[in-house]
Amino acid sequence: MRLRRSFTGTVAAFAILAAPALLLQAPEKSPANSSPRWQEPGPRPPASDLRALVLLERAVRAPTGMAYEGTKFVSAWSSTGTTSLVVDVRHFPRSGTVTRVRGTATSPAGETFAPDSAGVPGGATPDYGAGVLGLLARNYDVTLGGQEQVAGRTARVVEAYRPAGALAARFWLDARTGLLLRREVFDRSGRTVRASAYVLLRLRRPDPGEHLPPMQPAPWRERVSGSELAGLRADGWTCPQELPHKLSLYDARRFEDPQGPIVHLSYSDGLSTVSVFEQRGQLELAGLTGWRPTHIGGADVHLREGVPQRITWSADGTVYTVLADAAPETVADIVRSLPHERVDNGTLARVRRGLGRVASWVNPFG
Amino acid sequence: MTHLGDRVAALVDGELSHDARDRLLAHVAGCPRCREEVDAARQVKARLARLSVPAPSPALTARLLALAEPGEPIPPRRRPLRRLPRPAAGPRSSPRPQSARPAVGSTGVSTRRGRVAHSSADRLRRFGMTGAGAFSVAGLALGGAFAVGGQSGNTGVPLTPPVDRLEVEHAATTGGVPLTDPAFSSVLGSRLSQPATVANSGVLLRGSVGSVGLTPVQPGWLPTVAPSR
Repeated sequence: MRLRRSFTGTVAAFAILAAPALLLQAPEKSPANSSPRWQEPGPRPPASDLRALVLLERAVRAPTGMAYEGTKFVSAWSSTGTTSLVVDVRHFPRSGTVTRVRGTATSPAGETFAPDSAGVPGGATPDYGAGVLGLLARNYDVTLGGQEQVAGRTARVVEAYRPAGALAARFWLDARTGLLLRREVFDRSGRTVRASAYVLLRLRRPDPGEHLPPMQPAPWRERVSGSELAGLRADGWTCPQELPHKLSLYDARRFEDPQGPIVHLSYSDGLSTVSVFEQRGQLELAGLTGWRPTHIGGADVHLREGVPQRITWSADGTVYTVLADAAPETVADIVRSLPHERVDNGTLARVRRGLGRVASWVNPFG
Repeated sequence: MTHLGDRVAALVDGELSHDARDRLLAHVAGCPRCREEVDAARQVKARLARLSVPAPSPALTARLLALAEPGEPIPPRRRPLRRLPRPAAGPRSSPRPQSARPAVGSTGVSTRRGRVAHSSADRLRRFGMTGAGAFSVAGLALGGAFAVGGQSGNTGVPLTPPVDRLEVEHAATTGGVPLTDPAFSSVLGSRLSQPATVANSGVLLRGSVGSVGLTPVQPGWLPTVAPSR
């Protein structure tokens, strides 16, 4: 035994010294969802009311050719409190909606422009109407409610129920034009998380010399196809096809930032919308103001409160930024489902990392 | 097998460096299986030490004594590589040691045997030191790797996500989602570079706040639309 030991020992020592190539096995990041196809809206669940879906479809198409303006309030409830604003809305036919916040004591006034999705030929934003409405019909049971008055107008009520039976959202749709006048969204416990309603609304005839919407940077037009998404996943990008709580991917874009490529994935279940941005790198907090470190979904992240919630962290060489307009428990589950740094400080893990780093110094191609 | 493998013998024999020995002892302290094996190795060593040294055979003794007598010419130096069969070099190399072959044979055997008997301790010590050195180097390498692999992370270029730009993109893709409120995706987060004025002339008031029938508003919200009717 001892005569062999020295030879074995020498071989073992040299094997250990030469082992970085063997020991180094980057943990394979399993693809979140191997399906490269786009999520197709499924058939309408039998519990939905066809008349309710027809009304919703009408509401999707209604703003396209109409010019209207009004004032509405918007409120969002979250675990940290409430955000409420009064906004002035002005819609330009076949263009989009300009929303302007009325100045309050806490937030400055500002204006944003949301382009129309339906029926804008050559528009930057593709037509999401049918797809996302299909998601709503697939994920919720949509039924007719009664009639109520909103901003002096008669409105038909459409309700969306979760499969478990709890009310998820309520829409008040103008009986004459089909416009969405009021909207309330509830979380699983039945608490209101989003509420918005027109306080006043005025329809008008569109003027030929209409005030043009203000200029804004063009959205990233480079859409990512399903096959390109599969290629990204093979390269190590996460790009999940679905997020928890039936949030389906309905849009994927890509943009070249000076810091590198950014992939923008948009998810919705028909009521909530979430955007996940992925970039290659390590999160640098120096330039971020107003963010605070917190713990969401069992992970250490940085959060900026507001609507949408803004959450960012980095894991395994990718920086994730999540902008979520969803219930808090949904946001927590989304954050939990995405990759996070698993800092394993065990002896073996540290030795592996150290060998990897030494190998990377020695091997210029590694 | 155990975690220590062949290092058990080195540990029991005290042939490891300080650091390697301490590390192994630390592991053994916490690992019952390895502790058992080390104990077993220690017991074997103790038992071997207690065994009596066998006496050399008389033939060996006689051969050793014969070495002291003036003998035959010194045999040619054995080259280790020559032990390999060399068919081509047969006729040339054989005549020289031919005459001394029997003596060489006997003394060679005895020499070989003697060499074995004489240098076994040296060889063992040399092997032990090589093994100890190899394990020390390996231990140092692992220790260095342990130190270098401190905190994971720093695996990419440090960057700050352009959150303002991302908010605009989020508004662009969610604003078009029907039946969601563009105000939620755009207003409270993003801003344009300069606010434009929206003409508000001729706005008629259609209803009062009370007629909407809403849940009570939270403090901090100041309705600026005055109800009139």
